[in-house]
Amino acid sequence: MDIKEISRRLAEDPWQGKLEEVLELVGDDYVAHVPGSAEPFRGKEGFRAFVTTYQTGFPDGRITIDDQIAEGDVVATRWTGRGTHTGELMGLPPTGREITVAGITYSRIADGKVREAWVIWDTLAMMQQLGAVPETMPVRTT
Amino acid sequence: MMVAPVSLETMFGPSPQSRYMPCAECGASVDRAGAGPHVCDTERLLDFHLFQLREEIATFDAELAAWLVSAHGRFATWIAERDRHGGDEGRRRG
Ligand SMILES: [Zn+2]
Repeated sequence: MDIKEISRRLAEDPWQGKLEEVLELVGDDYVAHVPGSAEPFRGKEGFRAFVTTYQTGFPDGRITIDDQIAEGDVVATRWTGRGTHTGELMGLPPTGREITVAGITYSRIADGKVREAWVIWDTLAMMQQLGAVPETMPVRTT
Repeated sequence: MMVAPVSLETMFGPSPQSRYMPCAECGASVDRAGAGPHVCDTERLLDFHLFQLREEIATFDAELAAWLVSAHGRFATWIAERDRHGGDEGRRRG
């Protein structure tokens, strides 16, 4: 399995009921840097905790891969996430709203397992779609 | 070389806005850059409204269940059963 395929499975498979299988592709030394989290997620349990947080909020969630580029042991995967907010998300009560967000996961993969990842997605757009922040906000301009 | 500063307003308009927003009526994710107006799916519209009312529905179900096992509820159930059977009898006779 090449690193693009590993990255693709790590993104898509947990949302297709295959979280346990995909953990085989996560190194024990895995470190994930994500927006809004002061501490990185670590190891297989960190991967599981991160995915579970979002699966609780969006039980019907799906990730689709838009594009990938790889060089050496790193791979960048551009993805789109869709799901309906029917569960509590980090204290935010369910709204029933369907959201669409774009993101990029930049991963370092060695010996068939992901070792480190930077998962960046449009958190502002996500919060706007959930109604957690105003759709339009005053922006101070010079 | 001097580079003119770019304001946030130049980059994002009045404020950063999500390309997608949920439809206020049915909750479906709508691409604001997409072609053509959004048309609500009837089933989704109903699901969305029921979801908004889920707490009231749950409260009603709980209150109804509690009333049905109360003295008044049991009596009303007995009356309803009797009338239903009486109605059946009446229809058979008629
Ligand atoms: Zn709609």
